[in-house]
Amino acid sequence: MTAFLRCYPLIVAQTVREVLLSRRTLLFVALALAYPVVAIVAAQRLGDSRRVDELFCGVTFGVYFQGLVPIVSMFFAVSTVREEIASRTLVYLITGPVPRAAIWLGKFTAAVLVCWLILGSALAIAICVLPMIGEPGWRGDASITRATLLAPILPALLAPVAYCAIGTVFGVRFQRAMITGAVYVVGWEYVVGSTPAQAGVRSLTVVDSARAMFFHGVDPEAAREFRRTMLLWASGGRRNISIDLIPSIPEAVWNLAILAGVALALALWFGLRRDYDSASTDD
Amino acid sequence: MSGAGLQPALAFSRVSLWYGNVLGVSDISFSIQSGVVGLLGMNGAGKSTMMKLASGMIRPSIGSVEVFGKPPQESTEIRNRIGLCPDMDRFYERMSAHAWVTFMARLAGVPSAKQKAAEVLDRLDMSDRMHKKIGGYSKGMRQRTKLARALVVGADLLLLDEPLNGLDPIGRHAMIRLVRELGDEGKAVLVSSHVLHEVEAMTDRLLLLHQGRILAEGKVHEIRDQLSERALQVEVRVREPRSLARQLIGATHVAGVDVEKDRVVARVADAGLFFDQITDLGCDERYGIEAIVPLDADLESVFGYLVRK
Repeated sequence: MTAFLRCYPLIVAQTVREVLLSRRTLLFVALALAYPVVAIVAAQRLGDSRRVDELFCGVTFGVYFQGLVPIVSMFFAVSTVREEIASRTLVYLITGPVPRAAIWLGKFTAAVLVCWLILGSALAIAICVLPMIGEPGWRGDASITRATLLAPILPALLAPVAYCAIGTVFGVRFQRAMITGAVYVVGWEYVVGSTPAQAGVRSLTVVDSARAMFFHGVDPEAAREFRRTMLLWASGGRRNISIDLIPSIPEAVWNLAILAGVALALALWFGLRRDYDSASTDD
Repeated sequence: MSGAGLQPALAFSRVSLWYGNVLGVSDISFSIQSGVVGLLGMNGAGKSTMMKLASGMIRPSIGSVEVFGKPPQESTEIRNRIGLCPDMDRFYERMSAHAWVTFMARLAGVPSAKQKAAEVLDRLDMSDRMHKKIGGYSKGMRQRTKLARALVVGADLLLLDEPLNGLDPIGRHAMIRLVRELGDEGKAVLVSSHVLHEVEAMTDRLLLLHQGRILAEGKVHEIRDQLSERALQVEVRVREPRSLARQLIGATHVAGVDVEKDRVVARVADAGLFFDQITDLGCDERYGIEAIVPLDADLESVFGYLVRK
């Protein structure tokens, strides 16, 4: 335990430093900045006092939770683990007095921190700038409600944790982990996450819990259309629309905790048992 | 100090390893208490596999590897006593040697890691460039950086996989001296190479590895004795080959002589006596001896002989 406590923060700090100095991180920062830009431009051009909440919800759901969060989280989780293995620098860690749990959990934590930094910055820009649009002197008729504006914060904090945990398993277990991660995001999160709630499998996706938290957080009046659309989507377009089809915030948090917990347990299971050869090649 | 303990620093007991259907090493048994032991073998002989097994990077398919009495995978305390200098040349390229070695020392729980890293790098003549990025280092500096990582943790067992690769003559000399010093300090050092004279310069204790098997082990002179039954072929480039051949033919330590236009190839039964004689003849200008080249003293020939034997 002492070795774990000594090594874990060192590995987290080192990994965060390596990731932040990477040029690819700049690419993802630029990609993440697309979200506040789209949200602000949409509110500026199309918004008015009735529609600005709806626009913000649509952009946040479509661009942020469906696009940015899974892609950025999966990329950083897989790459932090896989690059250590592919570059063979892992050899110095596994042949040193470093518990493997500290390596994999350190990589996971570093990925989460980087995702929070990038995704959080993008969200923070949107949250800070959007209320200004409603100010006199800019566009006085497009004010956004406080509840809607703050609704993405909780899912934006928790969803990357679950995605990074899943990405860590892929990184530890699969040689072509980036492809596996892409297949997971498109084939599982998007497809299974879009099945009618009655099928019961949506709760196995991260995106379902993230949008449930967002759904319950937004202002029910100002974002009425968005909520109606979400309910309709959850019911698969059927008539028996019920709010029960969307998990409550505690249920969503619990779902994400289970997904992340299982994923991390699997990552440790594979990572503690596998031999990593210094001569191994990688994708 | 490693050697003082009852447990051997490193012990292989009937170790075999397969990579799928390919045999990595087969039925290897040996132990090291302290001092420098050379692991000698051609490329592909299994030297790096032995290093990986010893460091706990990989596990044997059969048999056991123990470091100070325990499998290295099982205990971080045991791994803290191992300093691996692997054959691969990978680093966090954006870090400086000092930052990287400090990081490794902190992972190992070394007190005053920053200062210790600076001391070790200074010992390896890296003090002037230790704050530059590793990405800009020469091959030799990268080798020394790897060695610094092995030394900074104060390991009792050092596993040095081809440590002279890429070093210039001065660097090689310094590295050889350092390895000998580490052995003299009581560390157990397993150092691999495919070049016989490099290993000989570092130690007189050898493990000869060929196709995953230990072919011979012991002191260099003991292995040499095993080879003494074989006639060594030596080419002597000479201005007067016939005159020289007449001198050599009668000697008991020469089994046969082939004479060509400007050279003599002698089959030598006793290399020591032959080289004494040829040195004397070299002083005589009548023969015009220009060069002496052992034709089959290279490692491949030695192995070939041992395999046939």
